[in-house]
Amino acid sequence: MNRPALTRNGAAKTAEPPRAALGGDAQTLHLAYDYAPSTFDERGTTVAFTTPELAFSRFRRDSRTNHLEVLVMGFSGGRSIYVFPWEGLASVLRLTLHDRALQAEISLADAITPMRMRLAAHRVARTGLAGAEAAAAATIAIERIAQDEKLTREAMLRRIIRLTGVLDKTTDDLMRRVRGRVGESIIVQVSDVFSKLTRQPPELCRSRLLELSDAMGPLGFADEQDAGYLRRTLRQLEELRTSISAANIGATGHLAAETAGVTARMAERMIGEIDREIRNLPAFFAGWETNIARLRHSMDRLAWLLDGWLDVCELWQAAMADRQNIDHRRIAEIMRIIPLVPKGECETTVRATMDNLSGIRHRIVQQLQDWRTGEVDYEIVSRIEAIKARTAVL
Amino acid sequence: MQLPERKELDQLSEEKIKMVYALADKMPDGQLRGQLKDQIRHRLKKIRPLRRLTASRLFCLPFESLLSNDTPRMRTFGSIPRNCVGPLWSLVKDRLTDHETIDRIDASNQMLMPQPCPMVEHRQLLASYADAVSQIRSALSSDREMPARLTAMHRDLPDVVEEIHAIYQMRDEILTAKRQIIASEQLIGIGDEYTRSVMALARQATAGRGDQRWYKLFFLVLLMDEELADHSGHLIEALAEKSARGAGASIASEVCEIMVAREGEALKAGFAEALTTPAGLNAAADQVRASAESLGVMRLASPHLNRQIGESIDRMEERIHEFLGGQFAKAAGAGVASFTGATGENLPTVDEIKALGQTILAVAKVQAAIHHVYDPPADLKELAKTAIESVGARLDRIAAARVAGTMRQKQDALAVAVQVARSIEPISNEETVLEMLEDCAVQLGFAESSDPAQFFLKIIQAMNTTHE
Repeated sequence: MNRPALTRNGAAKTAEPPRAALGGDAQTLHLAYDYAPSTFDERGTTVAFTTPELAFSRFRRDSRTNHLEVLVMGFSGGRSIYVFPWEGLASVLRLTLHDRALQAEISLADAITPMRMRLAAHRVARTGLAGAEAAAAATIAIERIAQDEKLTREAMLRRIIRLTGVLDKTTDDLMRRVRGRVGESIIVQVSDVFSKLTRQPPELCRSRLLELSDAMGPLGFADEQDAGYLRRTLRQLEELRTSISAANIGATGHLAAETAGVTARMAERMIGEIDREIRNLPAFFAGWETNIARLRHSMDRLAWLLDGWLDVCELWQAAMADRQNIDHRRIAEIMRIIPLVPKGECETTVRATMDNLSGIRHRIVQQLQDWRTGEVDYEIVSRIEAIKARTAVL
Repeated sequence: MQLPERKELDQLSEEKIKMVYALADKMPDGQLRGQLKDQIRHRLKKIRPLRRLTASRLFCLPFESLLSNDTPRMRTFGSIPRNCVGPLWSLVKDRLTDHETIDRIDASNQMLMPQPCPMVEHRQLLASYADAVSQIRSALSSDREMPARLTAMHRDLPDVVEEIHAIYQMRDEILTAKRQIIASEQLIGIGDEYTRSVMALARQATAGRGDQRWYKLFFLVLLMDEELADHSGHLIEALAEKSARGAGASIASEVCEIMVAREGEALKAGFAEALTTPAGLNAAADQVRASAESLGVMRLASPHLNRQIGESIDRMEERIHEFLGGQFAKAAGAGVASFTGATGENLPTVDEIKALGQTILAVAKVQAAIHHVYDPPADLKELAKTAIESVGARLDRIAAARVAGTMRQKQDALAVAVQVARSIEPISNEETVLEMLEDCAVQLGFAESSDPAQFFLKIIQAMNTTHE
């Protein structure tokens, strides 16, 4: 039984299939009716909901109406992806307390990008509404974000110090030790020297240095150990790909590993470009307006690209916890939520893989609500909360 | 040698149980080994530790799902007492010619992979096992003393030999059916279409036998397999549909009757467990849910089955109802009371909140499990209602004691209130639990808002400000 979602005007709505390709082969025509996002915006960002039907669903802004929407995969157990209006979500489903709070926070923060969503999710989890474990994990995650920012700032200062030769060889030790005011004074000192090199006013140079380190925060610098959330996520994704390939679980595993591989390759290339871009800081500062905008755009794209993969890693580990009895329902869940690279965002060479996977994914049926009572299944809620807790502390 | 008590073993973590199992597996004394395994078998079913591959385990593979620990006075058809296996295995071994392979497997130190597609070497061994069982069965009819000899080894052994022989003869079809059912879970495949194929395999396996018991055994092996539990509905439906069309009308009924009897045994064992801890309550709730689901599936098919099946299901559901209204409600009530009855205004510990959450979860599980069958027992309903009130009262006491406290104390109390509210969520409606949380928060001076979204935002702000 398919329960169509209601839009604000009460009309039933599912994700619109793209138009059928002209003159395509049978597979293309078949796939034309599958949901296949064209852009990251269209794919939406993963929402950390704990209500089982909404777990791993995605959130986006409808570019035509500017309304916020939630995309729920396999909601009715069928192939469709249901699109629910954000505001009316609680009238369609019973949400957990956590999800009602998250909905309020997301609306307030307009968290339509993965990075903003991540912060919103941590803030809500910190209340304890997703359990003590998730609260503790969120606290650690928020501290880690602050720590990442600090490390990135220090890493950048070290680069500039080396570039300008403003301090002596003990800089690294000094940088490790300085905190607070002393650190601030170093920024002032360094940016003054750097401003001469870039021929920009010292004040402007200082604010730009801070802006750049803020923009680089989620990624960190290449030569820093354990730097940046996005680099850590990529590492996990690569481990996932290796693990799926090694498990040799047949065609499904092959496609999942392929998708992970495509995503990892794209992410590596994007990170490589950012690293190259940032290597020559004076040149970056010379074309500041264009470069910082491009950097922010690349960073957003990278975050979008890797969005949702940590959940997949967790589900994979759960599925493989007992190698004697691989949990194929978890594998099915992975295939339901696996973040396909949107067609418009990937190269032609990987499009075929994405198309193929898109077709396979929609053969999966998953029903999460207790069909007899219509109540939330709190055991599944606990499992989702545990996943959230584990993915938070990366 | 003194074996540990079952109670002590029940306290062990899953990891430790795996270790105990591995040690038990290496015990040289077969009787002690069996006793120790029996003590932990109810947990092994859930934990499913890796098992060492031995020739005797391989022998049990085709009929493993029918093995039963209980030995009621009258054995039911399709139930193979576990203590029958030892004597039968020794008879089978005597008739095997290739002892080298058996010794090699026993010494291989490999683990048993219960995949429905045995390795080539194992397939050959299964064929030789089938021959051996077949010889024993022939001897039963040709040798007049044989039945008495077997009965002396185990009273059910002659009948068990008949059933194991039948299963062994159908093993390829059974394993193929199992493989097809499992394949349907793995995305690309057969979907629900497997039922038609399974029915065809059953026909193929029993062709020319003229004995309906074979047909019943074919389905029992599949229906009793825990790995295939999610598919029992489809299988029973297909079987009942076939029965409704007149072919072997009693088969579906008889299979279901055996399954209902098995559920009864499982419930009896489950209800005998102690309910002194939240984990015990959850185990009982799981048992109730599994039985309710299984009975529900059979009830759906009951219009096509004998009337007695419906009556047996009614009796089982009555037993569940009585258990939930009595023993279960009492134990859950005690669990809630241990949380709410705390004197003074001390904050509950993390463990106390966790125990409350698990108790409430067990109540929610059984409520959901029986919802479609009947109203929850009055005592259970009352428990749910009073639990919400008494938990709310404890939160009020905690808040009242901190009205004049420091901001830190208030924030700690709010953190506890949030987690307690979340614990009670599974048995409460949204408004009640939200009200409970809001009452506490307002008393602590945090938030007051007629709009739930605004209230949540204030809570988020308060909890995040605490740590910033």
